[in-house]
Amino acid sequence: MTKEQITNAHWPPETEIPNGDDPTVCPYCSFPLPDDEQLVLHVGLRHYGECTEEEKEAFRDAYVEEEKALNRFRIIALGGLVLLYFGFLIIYALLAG
Amino acid sequence: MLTGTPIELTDDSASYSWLPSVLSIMDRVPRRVVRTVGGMAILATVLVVFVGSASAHAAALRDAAPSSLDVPTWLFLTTGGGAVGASFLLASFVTDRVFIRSLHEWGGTLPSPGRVLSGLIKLTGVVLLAFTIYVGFFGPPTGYRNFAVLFVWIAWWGGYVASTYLIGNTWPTLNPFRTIAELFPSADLTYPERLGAWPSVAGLLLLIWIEVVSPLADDPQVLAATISGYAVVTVIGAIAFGSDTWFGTVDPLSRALAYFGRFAPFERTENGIVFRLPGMALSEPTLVSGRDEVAFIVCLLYVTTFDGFVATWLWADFALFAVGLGFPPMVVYFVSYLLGFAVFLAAFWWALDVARTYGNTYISKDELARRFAPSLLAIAVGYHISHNLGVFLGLLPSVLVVGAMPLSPPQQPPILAALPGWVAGLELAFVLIGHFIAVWVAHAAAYDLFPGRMEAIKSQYGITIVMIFYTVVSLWIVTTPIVEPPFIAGGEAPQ
Repeated sequence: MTKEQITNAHWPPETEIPNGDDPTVCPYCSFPLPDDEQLVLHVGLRHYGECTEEEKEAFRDAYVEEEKALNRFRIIALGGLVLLYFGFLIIYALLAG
Repeated sequence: MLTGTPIELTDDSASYSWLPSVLSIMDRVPRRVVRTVGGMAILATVLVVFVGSASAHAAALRDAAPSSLDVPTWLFLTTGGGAVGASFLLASFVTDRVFIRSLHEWGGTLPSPGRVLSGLIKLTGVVLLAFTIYVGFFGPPTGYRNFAVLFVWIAWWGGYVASTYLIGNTWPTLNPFRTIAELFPSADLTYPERLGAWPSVAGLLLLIWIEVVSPLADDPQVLAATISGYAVVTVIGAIAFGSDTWFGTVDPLSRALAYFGRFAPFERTENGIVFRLPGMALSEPTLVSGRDEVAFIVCLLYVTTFDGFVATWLWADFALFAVGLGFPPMVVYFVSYLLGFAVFLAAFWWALDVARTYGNTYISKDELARRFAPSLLAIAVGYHISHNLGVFLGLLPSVLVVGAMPLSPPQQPPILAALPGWVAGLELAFVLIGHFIAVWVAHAAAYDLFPGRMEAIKSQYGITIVMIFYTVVSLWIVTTPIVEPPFIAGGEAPQ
């Protein structure tokens, strides 16, 4: 799944750090990230082949943790789709009737 | 504004029985024909999709009497916006990075065509250009009987341009202006790098400006003169700076078709003909390289919208009001034209602000613009085909018959009046597919840029809102009754 390393062609993208911000910098490619969670995910995705066991472990944990947030979002998204579908269905039904 | 006349939807609205009346106004600007056909087709299809399935279910319950349903404009528009919003929600369910990338990387390579074939294509291009200009100047003066008008607007703009995104971009080979320019030695002047692609943005704005304010489809001579003018500028430019620089950077037509070609499943490269899934190359990081190219893509989408917008009552009212205040009509048109472009750019820029905030990233707005702008090309492609498919099929017999005897065409060239209902269905499908691919391409680009999957989804909030808004606006434009734009050629002078 995420074992495969993401291609590093055209990486890193151009960045712009707002004044006063203190970015967390990737130890492998110096790419600036706003927090540690993003850094852990970045290291796991971009540098899986070269990073340490602890970093891999942290990445797997963060990835699983992310899954929880994604599931919450999926439930909301599903609710949104249901609302859209039935909302339109009801409006069209009212108009047809 | 959204409470316009209810749209009458009946079971047979999908048939093209209205096509002859539409075609009879071919001596007017084709964009209006295109708009009418496109709009009615979209509407008819929405009807087929909704009413069709609704009546199918109802038939089991009660008599299968023909039913009709009034869909108010606001509901029609919200449905379109809702479909785009739903596609964002659906895309957000796909969070497997490897799967997302695999879709975009699928493909292979085929051998390139030989030099003989290329030579024949080049020759065909030049012959057709010369013939079009000749017939434009010396053929019949009526638009729908003149081969130049039919060929440029139906065969080339409606048919050939569609082939650049449905099959592959053959314009670099066919381009007659390039073939002519390459006959001459190049002066090889150095192109000022700092100009970038900006001249092509200005060129595109200028071309569409000419199309909007002049009777380019009414009057074959005006069309032929415009093509000649374009030919002179293009050939001189290509000789001065070299063909590759001119057609790769400055020429707006080549740039537009090159972007369309990036959507296509086939593309000619140095190694042969590459094939891939349609639209999937739009997520490539190197497709767009700067603000100039981002502006060009936004412009490509904008000009189609403006072209339709000037033929709505809203514009007519506004133009009459502004001219009533004492502004010269052309100034009103021109300032609005540029302001509209600024609004489109600002909306896109705002969406990128949202992406930066919700995406929790330090990636610059310029970088985000370069990565997300190509998704707009899929929308442009969807609208192009939906606006042109019905007109192209309906007027293809005219192109063939008038093409066979261009100097003495029949008084009423034949048209294909009874297009099957599924053509209208296909047109709506293309608008929707264009939007779905756009949402998907932006989704995939976000997954490539953001380490967090949740951040990738959140980064799409602004872009999705802008896309929904754009859908509603363009659906409103294509379904609003066409009004002759006041004060310009082809339009009646207001009393």
